[in-house]
Amino acid sequence: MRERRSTLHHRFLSTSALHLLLVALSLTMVLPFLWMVLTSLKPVAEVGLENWLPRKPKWDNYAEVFRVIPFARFYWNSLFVAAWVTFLTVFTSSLAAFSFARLRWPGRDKVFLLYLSTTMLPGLVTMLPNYQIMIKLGLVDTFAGLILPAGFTALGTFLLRQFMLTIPSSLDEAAEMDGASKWRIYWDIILPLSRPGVIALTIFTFIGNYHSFFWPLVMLKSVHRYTLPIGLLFFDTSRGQSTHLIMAAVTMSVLPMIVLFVVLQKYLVKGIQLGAIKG
Amino acid sequence: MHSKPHRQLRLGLAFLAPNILGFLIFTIVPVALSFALAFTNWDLRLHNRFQNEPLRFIGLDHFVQLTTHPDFWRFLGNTLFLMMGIPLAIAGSLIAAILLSQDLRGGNRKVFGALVGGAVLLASVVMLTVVGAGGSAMLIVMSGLACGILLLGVLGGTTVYRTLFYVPHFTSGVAIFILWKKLYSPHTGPINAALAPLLDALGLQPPEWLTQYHWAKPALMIMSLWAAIGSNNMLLYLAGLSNVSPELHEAAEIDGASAWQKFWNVTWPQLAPVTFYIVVISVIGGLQGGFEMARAMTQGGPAGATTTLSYFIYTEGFETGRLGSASAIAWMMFLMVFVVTLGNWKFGSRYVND
Amino acid sequence: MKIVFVGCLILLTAASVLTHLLEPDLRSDAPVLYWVTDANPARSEQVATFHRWLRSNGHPRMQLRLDTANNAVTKKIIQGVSGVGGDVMDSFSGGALRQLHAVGLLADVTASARALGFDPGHTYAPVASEITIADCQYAFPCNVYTALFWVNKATFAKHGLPGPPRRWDFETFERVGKQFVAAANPSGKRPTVFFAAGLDRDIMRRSLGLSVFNETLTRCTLDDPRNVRALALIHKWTCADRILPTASDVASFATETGYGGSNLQLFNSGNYAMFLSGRYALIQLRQFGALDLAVVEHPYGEFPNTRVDTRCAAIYAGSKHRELARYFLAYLASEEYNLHIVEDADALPPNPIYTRTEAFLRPAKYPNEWGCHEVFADAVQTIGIGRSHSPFVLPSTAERIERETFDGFISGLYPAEQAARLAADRINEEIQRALKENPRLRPRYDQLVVRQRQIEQLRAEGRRVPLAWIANPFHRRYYEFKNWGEK
Repeated sequence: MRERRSTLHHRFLSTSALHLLLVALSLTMVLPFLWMVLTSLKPVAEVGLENWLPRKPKWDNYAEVFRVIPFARFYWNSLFVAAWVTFLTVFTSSLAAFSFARLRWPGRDKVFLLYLSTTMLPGLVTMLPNYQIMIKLGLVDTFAGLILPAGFTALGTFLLRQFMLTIPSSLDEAAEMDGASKWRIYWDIILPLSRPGVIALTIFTFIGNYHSFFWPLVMLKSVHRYTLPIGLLFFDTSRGQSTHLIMAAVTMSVLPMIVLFVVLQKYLVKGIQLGAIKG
Repeated sequence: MHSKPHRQLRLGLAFLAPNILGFLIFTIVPVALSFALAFTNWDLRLHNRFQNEPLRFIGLDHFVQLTTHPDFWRFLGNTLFLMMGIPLAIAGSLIAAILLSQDLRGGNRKVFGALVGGAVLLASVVMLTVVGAGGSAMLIVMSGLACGILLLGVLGGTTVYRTLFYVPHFTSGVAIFILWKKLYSPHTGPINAALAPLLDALGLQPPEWLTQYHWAKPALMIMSLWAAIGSNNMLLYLAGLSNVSPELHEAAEIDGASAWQKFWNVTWPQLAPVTFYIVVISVIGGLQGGFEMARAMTQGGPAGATTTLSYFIYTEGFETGRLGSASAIAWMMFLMVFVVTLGNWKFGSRYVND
Repeated sequence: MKIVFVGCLILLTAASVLTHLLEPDLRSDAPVLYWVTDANPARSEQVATFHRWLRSNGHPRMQLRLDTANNAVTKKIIQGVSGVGGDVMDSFSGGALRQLHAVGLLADVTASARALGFDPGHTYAPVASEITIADCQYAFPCNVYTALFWVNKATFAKHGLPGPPRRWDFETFERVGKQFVAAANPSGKRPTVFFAAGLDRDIMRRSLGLSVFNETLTRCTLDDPRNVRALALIHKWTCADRILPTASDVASFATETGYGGSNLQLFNSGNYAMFLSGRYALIQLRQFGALDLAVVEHPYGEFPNTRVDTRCAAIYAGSKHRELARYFLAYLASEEYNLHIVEDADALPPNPIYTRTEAFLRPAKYPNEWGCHEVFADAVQTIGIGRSHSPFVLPSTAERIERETFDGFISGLYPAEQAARLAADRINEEIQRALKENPRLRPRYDQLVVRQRQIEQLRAEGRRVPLAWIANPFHRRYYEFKNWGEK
């Protein structure tokens, strides 16, 4: 009896210590964000003071951001571009993955290997000539020029193929017996069954393009077409002294991400762990 | 009527077409172009719609120019220097994962109850003391935040901490880099404000972080570490740790192994494939990385201290327009990535089959 | 899943239509032109005046919009070659204009300048060499500036000294400067009051008869002993005589006065008796109230001179509205625009006739500035010379190398002789690199090298040199001054 109590006691102490350690680590992660939010609420005069807290929160800073730069436009552009890229990627990847995973055709595996090997190339290798191609197509400083080069990836196909391979082949064989065309099999059977994979790919592609920086940076010229990262950079270089406003803008671009993460983290965590282990 | 394999081929390609067409135009053709053009004097300033100089084949000139010019080696050095943060980041992710994989509820309901009670008690005592002792508003907010995290963590367990750890990585991007630029601000940033008492006591000058040649790279590394501890690597380690069979641990425990011995002899070997994968991915990423930080925080400066290979490609290609020379750098970068990948193929299977 | 896919497609299509409708150019019934310039708040008013000017003169209708996000020269070049340059682009120096021209981005406006009245005859003579390249005009000035010393007369009076003379040589500068710092700073302590915020190395070298480039602009001549002398003088005045502040003096000001320990504030507070700047410094100086001001020239060795720069607007060769954009350049030559610049004190108006107006010479609101304005206008017209640009090296590259080697010298990395040689060697290396990268330049270069040898031979024989042979605007004036040239 006494022994049992002492192990309980011991466990309580060690678990408490663990929690305290984790809280300390969490604080390091959270403090920059805290400073960000608090600074975004300060009036100019209080920026840079040692006290993190604004004497009186100035919510107007947030409205001011929208007055100083077309921040709503940046939001819209980011969502618009990321949504199109995500749609293109998911749709074309699922078709290609179906071809690689569920159809049998001569040379399939060789093509797949060649296709996959391009993922080893640094993205910068393709960006330089792609820029030249965009000039030739007249797509510099257009949304199409942002969306198209990002919309056809080998990685997405690879992810979905891996997922489709886990679906038992008896399903499509049965459907084929019933006289279903390959398109029907893709559209009615495989695609719905690939839901978790499709969701993971959707999230990754969307997030990746929401953060996308290099390509929009070289492609975009007009302020009204800027996406959030480019808009933030522009804001920082043109109004860098207004730390409070910059922090309000940063808060507004980071916040949706945090919310999205908390909502979707179940899929995300699984997707990362699955994708990487299989890869 | 066509033969069956022919029909199958057509069908297979039909499904492939939407993806592969775009892929051809925006990946395969550019790759071929970039390779060919790395051996020419391709320059936006010479070859454009206003003046069209003939494109000249110049052989290995770009590569010779690069390897004989000190800038390339300096920027490669910067890239490798920043990559020295990778082992730290991996160790950090592993430690975070190990902490998170512990049983945060103490094993049974009694202990859990005591934990919740203890946490509530601790939180209220801390808050009462801070508020009662007339602590400054900032202290109240800070301790309130710590208590809040503690309460959430005790109740929510791993998920709460994991979320908090992962947020810096998830949000990482230009916004976060701009945030850190402000944190590092030498006169008005909170980092130097926090360091000031300590440095004053030691009689040292506060570092000027991003604007000082020797501090700029360490500053970027500290920030990257902050974002990398709770990254995908931590999630991978978490998954890896959950796959370590409990029987092995129990066996080791019966043999009277210490916690360190258990980790070193049982857990670490089991995690080898994950670690290997993480190292390869991080090294490949590191070789290509540093552009966003440099562009958003330092413009590659001061005096080129934070110019990495990728930033070099950007300035060479998109600021001066020398696409040929920039392609040559990109292919040098590919060569390095390729060597790492080859190593992965050669040694990777050894670990994975363990 | 299927419904989600189709739904997404419909939503995205709708969003695309919406985004297209949001395009700002669609919502204007007149052609829209963009003016790529800096984020100076005065620009919006200049645009508004432009629209009024168009209407009152019965010119074609157009919408001019500001683009302040793409003002860097590198951006203008890359966007220009990509077909998306701004219709009107500002260059902040003749050097930047030459960079754009080298890529072929600029429309030749020589003919329309004559037709619409904005040819080089409508601006200052030294600026003509800035806006014309190989006998073609490519731009018209938005404003013209030259750096002279602003003098805070109150600071001199406070230390019991008379103000400096309007024109002075190095010896006078040094003598007055030493007197001043001795009177202004308690002996034995680190000085906090300085005679001047800094000097202009190019004007100093030129006053000794040396330019960055030789007569034909084919070689950098910074390895000349006269450059060594200029560097040594700056070093002496900064580190021995302490009449100019060192970098660490400037840094400690910054910490004492908090942020923005800039020249203007230190001039206002009396820490700097003088600082070098254009007339545009008034935009900020006026905010300090009615300072007691005077303007004097940069000190000289043997040849009094000042360098004239211009911010000028040029037309993008790929613009859809090349014809319309010419009216903007005509506007820059108009009375409305010039009077706006006169009033705003944004440097000198592009057209010199407006520097003779009462509004320029004696602005009613600022009697404390009377006597200052004409010094700028006179200096540009009497001793002003444009910059020396070599067609064989990017101006920004040459300037960067000169600055870097000077920084190395003044921070003690190497002696003056080595700094001078290093600068010349690196710039000449860049010239050779440009010739290799762009073989088209080679024939002209070889021709000019022969010409240079001829010039040097004539000089060695003590004979006159035809002025038409000399491409460097500085040397042309210097040869006239020394009576070495012939028409």
